[in-house]
Amino acid sequence: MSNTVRVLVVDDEYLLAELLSFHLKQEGFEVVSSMNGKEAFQIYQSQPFEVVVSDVRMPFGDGVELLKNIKALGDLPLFYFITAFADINESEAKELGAKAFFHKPTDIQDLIAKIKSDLTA
Amino acid sequence: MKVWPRRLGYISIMITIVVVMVLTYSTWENFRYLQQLKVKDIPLIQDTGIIVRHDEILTSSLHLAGSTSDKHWIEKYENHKFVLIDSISQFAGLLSGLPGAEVKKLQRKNAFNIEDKILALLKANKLAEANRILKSPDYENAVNAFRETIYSHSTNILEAQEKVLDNRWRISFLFTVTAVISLVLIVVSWTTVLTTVKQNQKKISIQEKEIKEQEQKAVNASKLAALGEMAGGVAHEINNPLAIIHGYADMLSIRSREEQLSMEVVNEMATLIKDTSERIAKIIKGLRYLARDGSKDPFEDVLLQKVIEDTFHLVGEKFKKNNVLLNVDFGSMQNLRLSCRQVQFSQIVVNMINNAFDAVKGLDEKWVKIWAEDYGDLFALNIEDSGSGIPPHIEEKIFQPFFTTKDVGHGTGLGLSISASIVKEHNGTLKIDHKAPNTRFVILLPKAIEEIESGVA
Repeated sequence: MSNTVRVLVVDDEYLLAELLSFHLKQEGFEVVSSMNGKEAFQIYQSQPFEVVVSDVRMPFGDGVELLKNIKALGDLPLFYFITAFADINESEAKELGAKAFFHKPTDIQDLIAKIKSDLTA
Repeated sequence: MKVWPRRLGYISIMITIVVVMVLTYSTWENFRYLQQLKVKDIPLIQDTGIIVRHDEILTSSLHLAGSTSDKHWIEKYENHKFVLIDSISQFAGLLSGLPGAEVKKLQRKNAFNIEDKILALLKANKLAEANRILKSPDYENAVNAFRETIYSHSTNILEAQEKVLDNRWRISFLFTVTAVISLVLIVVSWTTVLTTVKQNQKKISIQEKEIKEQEQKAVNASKLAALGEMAGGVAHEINNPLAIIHGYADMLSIRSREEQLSMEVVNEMATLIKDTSERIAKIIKGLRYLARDGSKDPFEDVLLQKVIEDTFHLVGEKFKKNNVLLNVDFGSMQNLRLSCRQVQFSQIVVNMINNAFDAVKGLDEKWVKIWAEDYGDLFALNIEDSGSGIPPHIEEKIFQPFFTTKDVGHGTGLGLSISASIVKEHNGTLKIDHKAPNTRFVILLPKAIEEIESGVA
C-alpha cells in the first residue's frame, strides 16, 4: 500500500472541486472528487480515504448526511466542511465529528495546512 | 366608514318632505279660499247691493207714478223689475251650498203681486185707488219682509265671511309659524349633515393616507422578509464564485512560481476569473431590483423572458441545492414584451417563484414550471408547481393580507396580497387556475402597446 494520503473532495460546484483537487495534488495528496453527497458516499465505500473535504449544501445528499453515513459505517476520517453560508456552525460541525469548518471563499492553503497538521497529530 | 351620515341624513330628508307637504297643502288651501272669494263671496255682496238698489228703484218708481201720473215711471219700474228678478235668481244660485245659506228663501213674490195690481190701476188711470194700495200696510209689509230678508242674508254672508277669514287668518298664522320653524329645522339639519359629510370626508382621507402608509410599510417589510429569506441563497451564490476566483488566483501564483506560464494558460484563467466575477455582478443586479421601491417608476417596455430569467440569479441556487427542478419554456413567446414597472414586476415574479419553491421543497416530486400563453392583446404568465393545488378552505384567504400557511418567521403573509395589488396596478389579474392538476397561478397582463399593434406574439 502506498504512503500517499487519499482525499475525497465533494462539491457540486465543478470548478471549485477542480481547484481543490489541483491544490491538494500539488501538495502530494491523491485526490478523488465528486459532485454530490450520495455519489461521494458510494465512492467512499468502494475506496479507502484518510481525508474528506465536503461542501454542506448540495443536491442529492448534502455534506452533513455524508458525514453521518460515513460514521454509520463505523469510520471517522479527517472530515472538513467548507460552506458558502451558515448552513451549520462550527460547534455543530465539531459535534458531528468534523475536524474543522471553513467558510467560502476559503484560503485553500489554510485548509491544506490544517489537514497536514491533523495528519501528523 | 361612510361619507353620508345615515340616521341624520334620513331625518333631514323626512323633515324636508314633511315641510314641503305641509307648505304645499297650506298654499293649496289658500288658493282655494281666494278662488271661493273671487267666484262666490264677492259677487254675493255685490248682488246684495244691486238687489237693494233695484228694490228701492221699483218702490220709488211706483210712488212717483202714483203721485205724478207720469207714465215714464211705469216704464222705469218695468225695466228695473227684470233686472231685480235676474239679480235675485243669480243671488239664489250663488247662495246655494254656501255656509249660512239656510236663512229664509229670498222671495219678493208678495210685493210683486201687489205691485202688479197697482200697476194695472195706474195704467187704467185709477190713481186714487193705486195710491191707496201703495200706502196700505199690506204693501208696506210685503216690501219690508223682502228687505229684511235681503238684509239678514247680507248680514249672514258678512258674518260667515268674517268667521272664515278669522279661521283662515289663524290657520295662515299657524302655517307661517310652522314654515319658519321648519325652515330653521331644515337649515339646521342640512347644515349638520353637510358638516358631518365634510368631517367624514376628512376622516376618510386621513384613514386612506394612513392605510397607504401602512401598505407602504407592509410592502417594505415584505421585501425585507423576502431579502432575508434569500440572503442565505445569495450568500451561497456569491461565496461559491468568490471561492473560485480566490482559488484561481492562488493557482496562478503557485503555477507562476513553479513554471513559465504560457499566454494561453494565463488567458484561460483570466477568462475564468472574469466570467465568475460576472456571475456575482448578475446576482448583485438581481438584488438591486428586489430591494428598490419601484412603485413610482415609469412603465417601460421589457422583454418578459429576460425579466423572468434575471430573477433566477437570485433563486437558482436554492432550487439547485434542494433539487427542485425549475423549468422555463416560452416557446413561441420568446420575444413577448410587456409594459411594466420592471422592479415591481421582478418582485412579483420572485415572490411567486419563492412561494412555489416553499410549497414543493418538502415533496417527493419537486418541480416549478413557468410558461407564457398568448391571448391576443393579453398574455398569461403561468407559474405551476408540483403541489396538489390550494385547498378550498385556504383559497378564499390566500389573497388577504397577513394570511400565511408558512411557519412563524418564514412568511409575512403579504407576498400574495401585495403581488395581486401590483398586478392590478398593471391592469392585470392574479388568479388560481382551478382546472390545473397541480398548483397553478396565472398572471394575466396586457402586452406592450407596440406588441399589440405589430401583432407579434
